Amino acid sequence: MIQVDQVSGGYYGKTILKEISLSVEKGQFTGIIGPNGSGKTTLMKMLSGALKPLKGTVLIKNRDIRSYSSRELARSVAVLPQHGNHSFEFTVREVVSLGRYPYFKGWLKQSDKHDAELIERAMELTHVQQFASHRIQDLSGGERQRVFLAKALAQEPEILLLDEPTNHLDLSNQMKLMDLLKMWNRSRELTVVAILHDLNIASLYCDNIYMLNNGELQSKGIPNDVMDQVTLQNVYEANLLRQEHSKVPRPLISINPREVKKVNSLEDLKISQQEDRLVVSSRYPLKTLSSTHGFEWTDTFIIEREPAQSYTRLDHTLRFQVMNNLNQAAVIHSTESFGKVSVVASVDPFTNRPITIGVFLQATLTDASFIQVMLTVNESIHTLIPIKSDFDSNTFIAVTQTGEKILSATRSTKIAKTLLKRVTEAIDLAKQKIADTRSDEPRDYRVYLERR
Amino acid sequence: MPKQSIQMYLTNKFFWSYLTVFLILLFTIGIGVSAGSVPIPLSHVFQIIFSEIFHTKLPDGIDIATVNIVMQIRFPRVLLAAMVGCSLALAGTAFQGLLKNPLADPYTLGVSSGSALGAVCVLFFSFQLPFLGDFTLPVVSVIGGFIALLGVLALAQIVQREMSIETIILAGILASSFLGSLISLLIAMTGEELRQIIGWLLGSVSMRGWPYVQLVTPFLVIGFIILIMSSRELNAMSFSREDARTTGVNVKGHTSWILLAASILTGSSVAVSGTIGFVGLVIPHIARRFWGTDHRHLLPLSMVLGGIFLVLIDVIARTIISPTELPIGVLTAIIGSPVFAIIFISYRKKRVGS
Repeated sequence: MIQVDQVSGGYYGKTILKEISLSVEKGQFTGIIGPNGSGKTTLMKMLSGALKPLKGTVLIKNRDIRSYSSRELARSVAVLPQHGNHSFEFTVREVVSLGRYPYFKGWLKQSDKHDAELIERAMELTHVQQFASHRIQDLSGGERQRVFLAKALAQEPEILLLDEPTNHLDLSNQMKLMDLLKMWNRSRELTVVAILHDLNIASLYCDNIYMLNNGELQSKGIPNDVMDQVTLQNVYEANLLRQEHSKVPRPLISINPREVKKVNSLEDLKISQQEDRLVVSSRYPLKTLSSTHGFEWTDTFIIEREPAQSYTRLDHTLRFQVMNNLNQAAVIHSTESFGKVSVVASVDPFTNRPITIGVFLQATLTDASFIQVMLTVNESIHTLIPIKSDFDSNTFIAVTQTGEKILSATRSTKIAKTLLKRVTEAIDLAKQKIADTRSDEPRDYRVYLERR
Repeated sequence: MPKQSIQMYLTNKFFWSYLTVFLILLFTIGIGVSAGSVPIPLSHVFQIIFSEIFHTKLPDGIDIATVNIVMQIRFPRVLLAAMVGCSLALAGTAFQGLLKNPLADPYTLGVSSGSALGAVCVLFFSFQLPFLGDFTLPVVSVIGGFIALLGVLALAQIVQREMSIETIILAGILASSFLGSLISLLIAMTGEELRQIIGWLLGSVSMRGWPYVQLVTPFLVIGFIILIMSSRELNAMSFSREDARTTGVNVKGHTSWILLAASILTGSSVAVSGTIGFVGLVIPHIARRFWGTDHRHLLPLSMVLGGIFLVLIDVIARTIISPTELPIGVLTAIIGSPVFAIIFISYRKKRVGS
């Protein structure tokens, strides 16, 4: 549908694009991404015929774009421009009917019934027919963008070019617009080429992505290949993280803001321990993997006896329910080679009640090392608790994500061994405290701890 | 079919609009002819004009002197005012649509000054171009206006590629004062008929007669036809030139035609009546408020509105401090300048708001 071959060019004799080649098949949804000044808009202008390449050729439907008249080209290619300055008060229907211009006949550019039907149809498809006689100035940004989309559709194009279509739209309108485009792209084999600023929208909606950098093609291909964390970091010169979408098999890109001061540490972890409640609170949220809620940023951890009534879940708070006396829970702190470690253990080995183990780490963990730590902690539970037949356990790993980066925490690593030791100690201590209470010998467990 | 009924409604709406403005124009022309130092009853005015057009017998009670006043002095004057008003309003509508500039008008763009310089040259050097005869004056005037327009647009584009509203108007003012000083220079060098030429420069439709009506008519017709044929393109270009191109408009071609047509309209009206400012600024705004921005209807409707407006202004100009006549351009400037300020303020506010 579109063939761009070794195209170079720019404005006022300045070369912005350098030998770009690209090819778009019929019915594809193609995204063009790249930082500001990378040549995206220049490339788009060459695809729409607004700018003539200094070198190379642009073929639309296997024909050189320069051989098209503007009317001919408008019947094949429609453009949704960036928001312009609308100083005049056209009604929605008037704007949409401009889309039929390339089909009007005669000196006075007469329109016929067919045109009128297509105009109504385009307005229906974009859900703007209820505003048909409103002035576009009175519409919101999202509605206005849909009106211009209807105008582009009234052109009955085979190719739709979009320059940052979601610019200035709120999240819901961005999604609606992209969903609408995707639907047409699929149902009518409309070929779509869009400049997209939002990497996640590009990743989620495009079949193919071209990434430009400094006027050159950095990479191309399906989103999974193009959205490479290292490439993105280099091209955008920003600390970007690639993750996976939880519902769609597409990558997600998140940004990592630069922090003024890394204050996140376990120094100010506050622990209050009472009979019915143990609360651990951190001044800053900790990245937490819990067996109950998966990954979350959490700053308050509550282990409590059955709460009387159901509670609403608060942000940044994890709650675990136990039956035993929480004065018998063990809390130990230590400093290891990689950073500080605190372990909280509440054990009830005699009643088959849930046990809760929490590990606090001052380190930076990858998702993989989180899971490895989780496995290690679980192993310590299974080897050390005298289990009857079955029991439930709640485990959580809370990490500052500052300090030393731990890429691997498999069973053979030093960190796994250290953690295994600490968790075992905590469980031992908890069991000891229970045993002490049972022998009716009130004993301060801190003394016990110091003795060790 | 709801769609058809909507179309019917639209056609109806415009049908009544056209009918209304034409009736108002006729009535205003009647008023224009009837008012003056010797008042002539409105009924007599219409009877005289009717009988002259259809060569019917005049009813009794109307003497030949009255017929002469109407046919030789007042009717051509009023007709000229109407045609100049039509031309200027058309040109203003075209400029505002093409340049997406609510402050554009032949006067603010400096086109009028260019035309005036052309006209002054012709008057003072009193030359005639071959084959053109009497049409030398309006043709040179059109050429002068067109050159001034191209100069202003080129200057604005050099200053700022996107040609913001303020840039274009500033370039227009610059051109106006430059061309104005050239005109003053010409007048100073000749030294004669100073008062007369200044009166002409200020804008007037008095003492022109039929030859001037004949002079301006073909230009009005040609300008109107060109603009009407480009009205859909004007609609498309109201958003952006780039947008118009991707909807299939031959932007360069139509821009040239529209600029040429607007220059023809401006130049010819300056040639017959001097520089009358602000008609092309005020009228399109009023017309858009009534009928929207679709140039297919906006152009003819604001043309008629311009005719009505200038006939009325002319009536005021010659009656308000009678027997002395105010130059019509002075009066339009008195009305137009505050309107210019209001449009400018509201435009800036809107832009800051959005």
